[in-house]
Amino acid sequence: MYAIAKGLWVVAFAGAMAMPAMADGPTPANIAVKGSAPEVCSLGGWTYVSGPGSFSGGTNATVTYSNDQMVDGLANSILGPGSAMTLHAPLLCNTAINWSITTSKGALRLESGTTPPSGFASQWLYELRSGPYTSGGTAVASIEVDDADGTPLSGESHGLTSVKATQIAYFGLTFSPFAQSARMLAGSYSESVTLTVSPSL
Amino acid sequence: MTNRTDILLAACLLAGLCGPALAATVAAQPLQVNGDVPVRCKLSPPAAGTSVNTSFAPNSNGGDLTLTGLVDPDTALTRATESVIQIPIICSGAYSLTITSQGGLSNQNASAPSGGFATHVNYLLSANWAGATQSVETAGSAVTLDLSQSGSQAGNLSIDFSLPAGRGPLVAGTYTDEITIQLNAQ
Repeated sequence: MYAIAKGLWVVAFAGAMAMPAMADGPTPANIAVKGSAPEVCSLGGWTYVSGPGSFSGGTNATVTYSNDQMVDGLANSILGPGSAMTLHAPLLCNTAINWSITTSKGALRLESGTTPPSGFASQWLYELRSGPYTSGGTAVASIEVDDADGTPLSGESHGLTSVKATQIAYFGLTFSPFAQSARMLAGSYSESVTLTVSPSL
Repeated sequence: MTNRTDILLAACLLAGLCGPALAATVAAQPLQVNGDVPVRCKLSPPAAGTSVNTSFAPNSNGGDLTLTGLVDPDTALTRATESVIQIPIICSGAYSLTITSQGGLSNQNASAPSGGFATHVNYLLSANWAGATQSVETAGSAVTLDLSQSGSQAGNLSIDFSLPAGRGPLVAGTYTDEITIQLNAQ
């Protein structure tokens, strides 16, 4: 009988060795899932919304007044009320941003730089309204209003929180030249306006 | 009694254990051997299978599934992402096996979403085990797949994490969830 009992113990021991790592209690395993959405700030090309000028679109857009939209037959300025041009650029940001507007001249100015004789002018000053809007046309933040005074606009930086920035559907820009009482010197006039948007994180 | 003595004698002869004293003392000592083998289950470390825009690193708790390209950098919309994770399982009897998601990928540090952006994104969770497949799409609150069985089983539990393209756009930040595999012998 001893021999039989011993044999049974050997069998039992062998069975225990076969399952040393198995647990009969709860056995959890956790898979931690993690991913990051990077800061995205995507500014699309300009689109023409309203105004008298012609437009060629894109990231570097150009709006052009025709001759008869600028002066009459006696070279008197026509630009003024009713000459405003409005452009939109789609803007998608998923994070807080900074944006700013800069200009190259601070006036719609004669490119040749010729000093005008008495009674003539060589530039139009203007008002520039700029800011971000929702898809419904509501301003997301205070709209910046700059009256060009002939010196380049260096661009005040405007910060927007993530909550505000994610409401933006487009950036709006309205260029409104002021009426000019003088006659205008002949030549090409130009001004450049640059919008810069960047994540602020 | 005579028959019983004969049987015992025959048994001791067959076993070769009969001695001179045994013929004079007849004793019956039946031995009953009993034992219960409990249900045993084992969950082995997971291993990565198919992978699209993900990487998987096993660890002592299970593993870390990293979504390497969660969103498109131009649109903040999700990219198609998939990961299959294999987990070897052995159970010698009835057991419960559940896979629980906390409800989807969430950005816990973000402010309330606005402007069409999201701070939570749901994904598809599927599990295949013992010839059965269960699937669910997360919806913000914890959800569990139950693949419990009444019999023994050994094989690979296959967990499929799938995030379709085009969801969002997502607010910038880190998105997390936890998938818990619970194996419990019955």
